[in-house]
Amino acid sequence: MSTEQTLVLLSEDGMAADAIARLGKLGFALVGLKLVRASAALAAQHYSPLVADRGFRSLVSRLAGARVSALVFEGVGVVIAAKELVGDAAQPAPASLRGAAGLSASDAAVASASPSAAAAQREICLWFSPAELVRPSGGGGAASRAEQEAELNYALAAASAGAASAGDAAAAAAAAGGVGGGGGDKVQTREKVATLSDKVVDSNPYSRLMALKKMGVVANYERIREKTVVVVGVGGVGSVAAEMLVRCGVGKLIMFDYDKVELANMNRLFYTPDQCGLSKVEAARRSLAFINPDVVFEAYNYDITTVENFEHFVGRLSSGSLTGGAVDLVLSCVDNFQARMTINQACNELGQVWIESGVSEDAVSGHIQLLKPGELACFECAPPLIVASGIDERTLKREGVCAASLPTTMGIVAGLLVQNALKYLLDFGRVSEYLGYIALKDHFPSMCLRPNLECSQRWCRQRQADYQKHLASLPPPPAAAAEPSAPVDLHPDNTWGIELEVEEGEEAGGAGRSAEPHTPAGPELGADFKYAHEAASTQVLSADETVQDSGLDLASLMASLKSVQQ
Amino acid sequence: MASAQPAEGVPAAAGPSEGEPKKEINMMEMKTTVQKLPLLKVRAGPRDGDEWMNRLKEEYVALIAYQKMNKEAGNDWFTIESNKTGTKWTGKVWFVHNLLRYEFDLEFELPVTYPAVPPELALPEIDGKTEKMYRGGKICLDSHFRPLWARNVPHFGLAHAMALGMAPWLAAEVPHLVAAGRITHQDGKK
Ligand SMILES: [Zn+2]
Repeated sequence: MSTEQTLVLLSEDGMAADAIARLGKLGFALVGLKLVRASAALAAQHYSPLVADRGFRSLVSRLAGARVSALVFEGVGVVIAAKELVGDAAQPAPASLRGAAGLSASDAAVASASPSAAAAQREICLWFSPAELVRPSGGGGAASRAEQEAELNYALAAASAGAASAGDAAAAAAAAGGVGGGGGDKVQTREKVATLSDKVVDSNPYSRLMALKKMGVVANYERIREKTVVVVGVGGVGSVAAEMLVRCGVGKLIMFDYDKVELANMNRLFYTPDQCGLSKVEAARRSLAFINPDVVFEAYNYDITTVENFEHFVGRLSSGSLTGGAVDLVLSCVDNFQARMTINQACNELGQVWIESGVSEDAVSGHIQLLKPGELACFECAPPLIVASGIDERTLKREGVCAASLPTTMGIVAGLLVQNALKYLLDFGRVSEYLGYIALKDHFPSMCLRPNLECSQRWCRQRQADYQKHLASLPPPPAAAAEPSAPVDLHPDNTWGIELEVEEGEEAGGAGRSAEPHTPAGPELGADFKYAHEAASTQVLSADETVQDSGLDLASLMASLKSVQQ
Repeated sequence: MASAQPAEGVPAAAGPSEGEPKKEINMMEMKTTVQKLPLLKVRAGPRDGDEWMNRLKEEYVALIAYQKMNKEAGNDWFTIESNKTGTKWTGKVWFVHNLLRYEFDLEFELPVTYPAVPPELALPEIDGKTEKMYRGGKICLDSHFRPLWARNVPHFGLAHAMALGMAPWLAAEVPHLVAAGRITHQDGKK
């Protein structure tokens, strides 16, 4: 169990004093304390997870206008301890605050504690700004830079979205039966649709998509309903990609992310300040299911890179489709190397096609890359490519500087990603193998990466062998009808087979471009690309440099390390 | 973004400050230490069965060599052990600053793609107290570490990660954490 926080709301001052004394005695720290006259909007937001419940209206109306002490406590196990202290609304234990005061469930007094650690995070964000939470030790009460920043973001978001969130609360209240007599518009939801119709009427959510078929762009648009797409990472790029897929009517969407929605995410698209504290996948699932109830969702809130979670992750890729088989496409929208390597491992093991996406740390370049195991380069075949940003490299990579991000670049990359996903899924146009985006020049370089025969990923080498076998089994293609997108290796000598698409007047790999140190494992790249780092050296090591076989078994080695450390 | 500026009291790219020259010497020491560490040979990760067990034995041999070296030089600064499958590692790290010892729990899980990707060493106790840390207390390694690791796959192991990643991180961060009042001696004492 880890340190958690909980929010306690009490309308009786005596109860508040009791709560501080009793939880303090149990060793929990009081980190937030204030007296609040709760507004109707705050009350509705506080209980918004219960909006569909019958009790929602009475809970909101009891809290709205009440004068309550809002208390935040911190410590291991504090959520359960506070719930026990406050007592159950229906059957409070005699020693609990509710029990001692003889409160019944219908009493007008407010006495509540957060139901879970996750709920507490959401609730605390509603009632307190980060700087209002003061720990008794450690930080000395001084807000860290990150906290100050969060507070600033919160204030900015609250100021600009103030009207909107009040509107949300009124709408939520109206949906539950018109609390406060606001009489706002009813929240509109739509019924599920059995089959996609191409009827052009205002009430058909798919009419503009089905027009793609009428216009001859896509042969069979309704096949989108059979497709299952996985989005790994629902941050700045992934959440937007997921929304695009859902609005396009994808059959099933499976999402993975271990992060929570934070105020620091609000410079990006999709998430809203009231979702702060929720896991990203849960917040996304709620919004997306509201946008399109026809889509089937699975959402997993964990880190795919750990050994245990990886098993489950691979299982969902191989049997998560609508028919219980392999998914149709995996989209990688993660922001780190380990997660990309993990997706690469899973997709190579399964032979699963995926598309990688990324935005540079300086926020002004990005890329997408199609990865077909065995047919195209995998993520480990060469060191990762970096798309040039057009900024002098020497001014970049300052120590201790966090990554920048722009909603524009992320939106563009998400658009390129899903555009190519649609082309792949519905079989129209040409799917880009590697497409870069250089924002400062509005330049889109592209290239094709063939697999490396000596890739260090054994599953990649296996898939390459499979693909060669597959090619050999195909009947020879008709000579004249060679598709431009057909995988023809133009440079059989070059194991890397990189083909640079050259703009008019430019020469690929031309003289004057070799200022960059040559990477030992890969060919020289054009000015638009470079490798993230050098490849591992393949030099032969001498015996005295390497670990010598001790002849001991693992248990003896473990014991030996322990004794050395004593 | 506001976070693009170094925090106060964190002289990232700022000019020389007290203690800087000392850090340089430590870096030199670190380099020679790493050169003495044996290199690993088996390229296998936690999903590779028996091969992984061979890799794990190499990890232990290298760690034993490193710890012996540390003991002989009188500057042992961490302890470490793993579960039977070698996927979860725990221990302690400590750093002496102004004659006071600051000690933290070390805890990390190996990524499924290790050793192609480096381990993410974590000090969960001081999660949130420094910007040079990711969620869960994973220490933020400087931009040279990852390329260096990538060039040396599969020869670098956990001993190298401790020497090249954790040691310089502690040397750089502990004095700042102390100066900023974010850790006190009591915090570190167990
Ligand atoms: Zn490969």
